Amino acid sequence: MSESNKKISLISSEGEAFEVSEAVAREFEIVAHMLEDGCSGSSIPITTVDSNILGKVIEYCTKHVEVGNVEGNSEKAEKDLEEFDKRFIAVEMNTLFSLILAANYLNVKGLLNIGCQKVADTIKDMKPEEVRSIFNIENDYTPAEEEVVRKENEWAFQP
Amino acid sequence: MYKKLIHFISDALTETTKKNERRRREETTEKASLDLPPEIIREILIRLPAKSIGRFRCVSKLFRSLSSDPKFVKIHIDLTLRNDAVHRKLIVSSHNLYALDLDAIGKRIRDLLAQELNYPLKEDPIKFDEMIKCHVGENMLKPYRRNWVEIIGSSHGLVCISPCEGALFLYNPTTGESKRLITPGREEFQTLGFGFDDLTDDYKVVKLVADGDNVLKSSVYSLKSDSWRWIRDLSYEHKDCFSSGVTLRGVVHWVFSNENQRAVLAFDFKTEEFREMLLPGEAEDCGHIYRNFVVGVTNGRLCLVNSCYEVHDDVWVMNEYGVASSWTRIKISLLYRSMKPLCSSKNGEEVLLELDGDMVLYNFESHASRYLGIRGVKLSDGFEADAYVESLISPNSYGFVN
Repeated sequence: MSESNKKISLISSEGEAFEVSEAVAREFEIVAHMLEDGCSGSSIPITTVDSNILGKVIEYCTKHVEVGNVEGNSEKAEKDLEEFDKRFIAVEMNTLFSLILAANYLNVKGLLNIGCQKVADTIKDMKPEEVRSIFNIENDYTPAEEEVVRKENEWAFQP
Repeated sequence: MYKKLIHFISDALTETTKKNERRRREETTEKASLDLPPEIIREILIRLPAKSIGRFRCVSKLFRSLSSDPKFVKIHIDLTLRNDAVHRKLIVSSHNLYALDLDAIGKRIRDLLAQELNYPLKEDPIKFDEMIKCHVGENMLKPYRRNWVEIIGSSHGLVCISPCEGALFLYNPTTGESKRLITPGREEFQTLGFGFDDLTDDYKVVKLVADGDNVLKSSVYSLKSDSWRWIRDLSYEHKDCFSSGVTLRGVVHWVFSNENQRAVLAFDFKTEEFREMLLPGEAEDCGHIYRNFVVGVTNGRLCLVNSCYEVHDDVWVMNEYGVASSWTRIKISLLYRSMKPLCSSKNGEEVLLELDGDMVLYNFESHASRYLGIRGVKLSDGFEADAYVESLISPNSYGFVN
């Protein structure tokens, strides 16, 4: 069996197996490192990622491997990929956060990048209170401290 | 029995409605139940515009400490400069400083909205005032409430300005923070240039000062070392009027003359070396008694504009950088006495010009032109402007970045 046809099973936190080609699995840098370190087993447990998210990450990597394999990559293919990314990342916040966490754990740089950019684009015009709510963050400033920080950054509150 | 059944059905229905409502609420609310680790929050923050980051420092102590780290600030400006989608701003000096959105210019808006900036020495007693009072009287003073601010240059999120004679500042128009550069007293006939050395990640100002006839002393200021250093003496005549250089590819350019000829003098911020480029021979054929030129940049190419106060309709463009034989004369569809290219549009086709005191958007492909105005601002003759990107760079703590 040639290397490019080799199949690898990725096992989600629920124990579900996802069979992918080695090329796709290697998009997960963490898996690529395992394979290089001589981990020869054909099934790799991804214990921190559930089936729903793992499926999505595999979908992302499969698309990117496919487009990357086309020789003489055209401008159109690049545009298509951009469109794919845009559609792929248009999900609600919880899923987006899960995708980012998975991309961070599995070390899929492209997905981490578009995920973080999507969150940035979504929150950029929000108020600090709204951002706290989205990130599930408690305000750890005392009112006096917050006043100081606000003063320091007053330039950022002007239109 | 029936009653019981009806109760049961009604209870079940209410429960379902409640469940549906809850689900709907959960779906629509953007609140995420997952906590992101600090390294991911940093990755998100670094992709935000400077102003959003400043605002989000109020979210929590973590948000503030992550985004105040000098390394974060440095990576943020590098990302901003690489991102084509980033909004560029224009800083305009005309008896005050203004900032406006450069993208609005592309959107065919004639009447641009500008924001007045706070800058160092803005409310200082006016020297210009005293001078003009003798000539024109009090009633003419109103539009000239402030000193003229010279824009020396703009690079990597900082702008170098001189808000009054002898005072030089590195200024971040976004945060309003500024740092006054130490200057060794009053120096006559200064020529300045501002740029960024991406080899050492340092902001630099170069200064040429007349030292007797036909000698220019050159020295360079580095923000990291916060000091000036003499470089060498050059044999050129000093300029009798203020002129700031034009920066292209990390090199600042001016037009200077020595006994033999006029030339473009270029200073490379990386190597700290000077080089000379010849002017197109024919440019000197302008035929007017007083001849002069200024350099500019159009679409990433160096250009030479007549500045002899007589009417012209042409500019010279250096098609191949540094190659004097590549100077090409381009006729434009407008007449001018004084002109300066301010900045180019993203697609490179259009150039914003200061043309006899007007702001004009000129297309070098189609030769179409469009006059622009800024709402509530009367642009003076010789107003200055430069493009910049919004950054968090602090000129006062920049030296600590390694």
